[in-house]
Amino acid sequence: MQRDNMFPKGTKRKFSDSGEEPVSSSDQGPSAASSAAAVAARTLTSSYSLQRQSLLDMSLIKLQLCHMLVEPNLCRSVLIANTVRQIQEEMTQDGTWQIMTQALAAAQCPADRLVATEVLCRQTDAAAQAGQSPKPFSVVGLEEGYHAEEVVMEGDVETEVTMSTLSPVSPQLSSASYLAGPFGMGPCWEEEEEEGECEEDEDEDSEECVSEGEEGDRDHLSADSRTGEQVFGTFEIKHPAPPPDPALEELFSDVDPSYYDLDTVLTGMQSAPKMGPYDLLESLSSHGPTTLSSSSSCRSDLNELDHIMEIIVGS
Amino acid sequence: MGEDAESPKINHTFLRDYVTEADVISTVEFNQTGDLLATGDKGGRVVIFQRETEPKGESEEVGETGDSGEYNVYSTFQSHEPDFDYLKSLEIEEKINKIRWLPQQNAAHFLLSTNDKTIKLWKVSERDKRPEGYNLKDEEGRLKDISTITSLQVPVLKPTDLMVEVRPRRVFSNGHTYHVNSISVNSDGETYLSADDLRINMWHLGITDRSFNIVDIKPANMEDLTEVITAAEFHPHHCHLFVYSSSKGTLRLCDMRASALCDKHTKLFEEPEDPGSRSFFSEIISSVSDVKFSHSGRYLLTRDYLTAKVWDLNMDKGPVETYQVHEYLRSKLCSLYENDCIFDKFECVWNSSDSVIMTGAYNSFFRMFDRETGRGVTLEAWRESSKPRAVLRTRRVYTGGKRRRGDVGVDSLDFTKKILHMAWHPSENIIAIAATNNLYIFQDRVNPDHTQ
Repeated sequence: MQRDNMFPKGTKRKFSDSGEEPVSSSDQGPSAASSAAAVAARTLTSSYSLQRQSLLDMSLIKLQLCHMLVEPNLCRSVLIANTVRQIQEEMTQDGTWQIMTQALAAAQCPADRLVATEVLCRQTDAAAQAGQSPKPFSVVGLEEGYHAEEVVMEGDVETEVTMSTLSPVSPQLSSASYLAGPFGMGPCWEEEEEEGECEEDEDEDSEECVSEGEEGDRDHLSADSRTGEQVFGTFEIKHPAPPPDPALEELFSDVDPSYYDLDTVLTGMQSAPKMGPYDLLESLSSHGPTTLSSSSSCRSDLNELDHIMEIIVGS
Repeated sequence: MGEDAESPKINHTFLRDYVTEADVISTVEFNQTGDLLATGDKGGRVVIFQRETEPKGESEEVGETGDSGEYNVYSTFQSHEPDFDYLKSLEIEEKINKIRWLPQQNAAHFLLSTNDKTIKLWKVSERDKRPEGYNLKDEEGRLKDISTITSLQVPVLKPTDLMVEVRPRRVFSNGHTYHVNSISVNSDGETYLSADDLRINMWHLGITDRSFNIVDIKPANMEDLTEVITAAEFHPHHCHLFVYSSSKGTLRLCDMRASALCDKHTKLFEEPEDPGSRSFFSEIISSVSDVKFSHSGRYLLTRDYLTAKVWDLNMDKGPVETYQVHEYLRSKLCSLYENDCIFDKFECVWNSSDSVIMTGAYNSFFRMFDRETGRGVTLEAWRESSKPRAVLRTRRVYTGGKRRRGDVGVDSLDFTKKILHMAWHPSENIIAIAATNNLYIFQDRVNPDHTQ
């Protein structure tokens, strides 16, 4: 499956994109789909729903992982997550949420992004606990056209992809993770995204957007982003991974695959799986639900993943 | 009247100001007498300024300070160093989040400084004498040849150049999992509180290996987290009362006599939301960034993104006064959310008589509000427009109507120049404003003691 290497800087998301390129990048995937949602929900005030959608996308990106060395600002993360919840609640009420999630389910191989994000979220704990140099797991793998699970399989040390927070982050990395919970991923705000965001912000603030975006770049002095893992998850009890298969079956028994991409973001907001970051990682260790098997190359070797999980979880 | 205490007087106009990250001032605090002013920066340094005392006999009248009354550097020391949390594989910033002075009890001064994780108690003392005339050593400290010693002498203290010594006396570590945002010294003189995003601890100044947890709002499941603690302060007179503010715009007054764990507030201060102005940003802009008791102890001053509010402790239904700091930003919230400015945490301060409140804004502007008249004024802390001893002129942001000369348009505001940290002298009309890496000290020569 072809993946677009380029982070969509400043690219306006168009409804047609979602038809031509199933997932041109992990960022465009949900965005394209959400444009679809916006189009579909044109019964609502078009500009309001576009504005709301843009805000949702912006918020999700802000919650993303960023490869900084310092713990992110918890207050900021909480406020952004609350904003996401608020938007989601409103969209659920007027029906646009279902449309969007269906469109997302139609996006190809969501689990790849799922895997990548979780692996990304795990990184520093793994690195720290394993006492090794950061393991190369891939979100970067996405941009090279590999399926995430494949890279995970191979990639104990060999692949050049790195998930270390110390490695220079390409914007692609942060674009990948809509997927971890708001508290499973760190807030992130990057210069490149900022410019992209500016373009996407279609409402009246677009002028200020550009200028303040640049100022914001300079202004955004502090390294306040980090995997939310570190923020929220680290002080939770680190339990060893339960046997993968039974847990996974139970986990996915009532899960609609269409929720995969967003459900960690929405953890706590929906009745469906309250999957924390650890749960999602454990989902790697199985051949899993049908969407995973939809492309054969997504299949992962169970033993390899178990091994990797052990390293990551540190058990 | 403006005094740029940090930079030399060079014409910078043709140079883009290069701000060293480490020099950005992150906290400002006067001590209880106002003679000392401490600043902390992102590089973990603390700089203490001392007010020059008036020469005796020259200016006896109240209010006439002549050339003196200025603040000069008294001492500089490295308070915190960058640290590394090996368990989480994260750096711990050395940035000084808060400095609080202890009430002075002897010749030495004590202050508490904190970064995200560790609080330190520093002793600042002067030495201006040294003993001379040792029997066994000479002036350079070398041992004397015993055969040359023919008599005994008593060493005497001789005056020397003033030396300011700063020593760490206590290190209060491992008390906080999350980032410390506030410290507050209790009126009992023995304890202080430190607050992070989810917990508040009470420490005894003499004990470093134990602290009492008095507030804990961490949910059992972190994914249920929707509210964090943003600031906390002890009541200025009642040692059993403290207040803490939250990211949802609430204030909680807690009485430590009620229970050991003050999760249940004694009083909850919350303004009912105006349904008409609800937006996706309502919660974010309601988050309280700073809370301060008035000197009288009767009122609370809070700052949220667009307003400053005064609350009466006796009334929890809502604030008694609301001041618009920069209402013109309300229509720009989406952009400010995008560039993260909406998360900026502005501080607020009372003047000595609780009749004026002050808080910062963007574009190097800061605002003062007179509580009696309700009127606000905008001032600027920017070296290009204020020379030493010049009268500070008021500024205005143009938001419509007749445009006056000197008005600044909303779109021309510089959002990188934010006035977050400030302090007001405890008894006089002297204010210290931190503008990125510069410290401005303004004095009111007309009404220095503010006897209004």
